[in-house]
Order: sequence, then structure tokens, then C-alpha cells
Amino acid sequence: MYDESTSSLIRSAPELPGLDLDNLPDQLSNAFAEIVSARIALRDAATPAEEISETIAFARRLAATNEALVATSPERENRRAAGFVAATAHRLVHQAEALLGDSPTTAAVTTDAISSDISACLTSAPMGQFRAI
Amino acid sequence: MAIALTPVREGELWAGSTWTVENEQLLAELIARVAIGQARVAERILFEDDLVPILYPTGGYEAARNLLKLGPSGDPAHRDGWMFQVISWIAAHRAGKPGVIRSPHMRHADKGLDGLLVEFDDREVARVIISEEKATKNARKMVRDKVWPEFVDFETGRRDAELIDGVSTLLAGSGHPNPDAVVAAILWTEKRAYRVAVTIDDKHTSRKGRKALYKGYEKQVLGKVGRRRAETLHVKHLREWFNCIALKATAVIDAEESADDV
Repeated sequence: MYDESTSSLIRSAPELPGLDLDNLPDQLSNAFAEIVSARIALRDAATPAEEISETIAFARRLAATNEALVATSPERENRRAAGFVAATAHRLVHQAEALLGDSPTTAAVTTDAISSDISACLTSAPMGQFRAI
Repeated sequence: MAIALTPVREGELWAGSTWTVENEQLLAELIARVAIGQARVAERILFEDDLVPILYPTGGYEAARNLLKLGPSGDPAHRDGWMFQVISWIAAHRAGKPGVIRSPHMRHADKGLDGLLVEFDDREVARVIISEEKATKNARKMVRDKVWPEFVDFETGRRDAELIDGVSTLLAGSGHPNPDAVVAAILWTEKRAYRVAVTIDDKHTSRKGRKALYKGYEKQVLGKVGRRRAETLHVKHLREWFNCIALKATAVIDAEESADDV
């Protein structure tokens, strides 16, 4: 799913215990594919919740960790990679939650937190994606 | 000493302490310092275990007094809740574990995370402590209906966004030499523990009472006993007691302001 430059960006994200960075681009692609197939399974009245709950948990941890790494050290060298991985993982969580009907359908901003769809946009910012807009 | 802690433990179910207010005047002074926006000064007082004259930054007296007043509705719950969070912050310092403790909120609030601590074990590995602190007349109902569901939300990752915000802010201000390792431990490896602190009346002061109060904790937060902290403060007449401490703290603020005017 990812081209070579995006894949190499993902591979340069911060190292974490037990995380295979070389394999991370494939892992993320597979996770998106899993959600698509879960959506199809849902149409066939099968229950996808259990199958993708592990994927959601992984994506949540990946998003949270990378977002906090950028927030605590905004000048870090790999902030583009961390921001991209955080944004991608937030998008995964958002899509999965939308599929399961767990998430608010509208974007939410409270005094303490923002919803995963907004996080996905904001964590893209360190990558310079908004510059062209 | 403003507050003394006595350790309590219920087998493998939970562990924590009961708090006793030893010196109401000193407690009121610490609350007043926090209200003026001098949490760091209050920390210093706590560490040195005595009042020390320091050149305080001035100002904010009116806002400080407002924190100790009832809100427009006249309902004391938010004011007392805020004061209890300060007391809980003092108790967390008293527990004396190496780590970083988030300073109390500077507003009356009933939403969001009450308290947040990052602790380090003897191998310097970090864990985060998510703390819910409630001044209530009905402790069991509060624990069962409000605190447990909040802990479950953090356990399942539904409130990670709040945790990211809290941990990032706490680390940014702490000057920790290796914030990456702390973030990885807390958000990636999910080293998390929980701490519930509530006011109790006579019903829950015995061992049996506390056991009933925290019934079901181990089913909401799984794992070792160290993940389940439980704190209590016995207050006989809840609203009257908080009001009395608020008046004492306000008097400290007034005295501070007039000394500042000289």
C-alpha cells in the first residue's frame, strides 16, 4: 500500500520494545485491509469485533506513544516519522471505531481530549503536510 | 505535619493508606499556597516539613479566594472536590515515592483526570498512576458508579488522549533526562496503576468497612495488587469540615495579601 519513500519514513519512526520497524509498513497496510474485510464481514452479519480488537489495541498504543514522543520532544530528529505513524494509527483507530459503532460520529473537542479523527489531522502537522494548503 | 499516612492492605485485593489530618492550620496554609498558584512553594514546605520564609511571587489573591468559595449554584461539591484534590496531592507527596506528581488543577472541575503521578521503581522504570479523588458523602456509590467505570475506560485505552496530554505536560515540566523511556513505558508497555482516594464516614473506617468500600476493585483492574491503590480520609461532617478548612485557608490568603501591601 505504501510507496518506497513512505515505507522508509515509517521505518524511521522511534524504536519501541518489541516493535519490528522494518515490518511496520506491512503491518499498517494489513491492519487497514483487516478493517476493510471486517466491514465486508459485517455486511454478511458476521461479528468482526473480536478479530479486529487486537488490531485496535495495537493501533491505539502506537498512536498514543508516537504522539506523546513528539509532544514531549518536539525537536526530535524523527518527528516527521513519529507524526506520520501517529496519524496513520489514529486513522486506523478512528475507522475501526466507526465500523464498530463505538465512536462519536462527529469530531469531539473537550477540555481534556480530542477525538482520534482530529488527532489524525494534527499529528500530520509535523510532517509539513499542511504547508501546501 | 499536615497529614499522616497509615499503610493498609487487603491481601492481594488492594493496598494503600488511610490519611489523618494532624494539623488543620498547616493543612489550610498548604491549600492556600496552592490556591495562590504556589504549588512549588507548597512542595518545598512539604519536603522541609516546616514553614520556611520564601520570597513568594505575588498576586492572584482574588482568584485564590474564589477557589475557596462556593460556585454560583451554592453547591459545595465542586469547591470541596477541589480542596480534596489538593489534600490528595499532599498525601501523594507524603507517600514519598520517587517520581513526578502533577500539580493540582487551578479550577473547580468535575470532569477529566483528577490526579496523575509518574513513579520510578528501583530500576528507574516508570509507571503512571491514574488517580481519582472524590470528596463524597456516599463513598461506596461513588467508587462503584463513578470511579470503577473511569478506571475501566483507562484500562481499555478509551481515554488514552487524556493520558497523552497529562503525561506530556507532566514530563515537559519535569526535566526528566530520558522522557522517551518514560513515554514508552507508560503508553507503549502500558505500565499503569490506579489510585482511588475518597472521603469516608464512620461506616467505612473499620477493616470490614474498607473491604466493602473497595469491593470489586480486582475485577475492574486486573493484575498484581500494586496496580490497585486505595486511600481514605475519614471526615465526620463532610461539608462543615471542608468549610472550616476553606475559611482558615482564606484567612491565610488575606494575611498574605495585607503583608504584601506593606
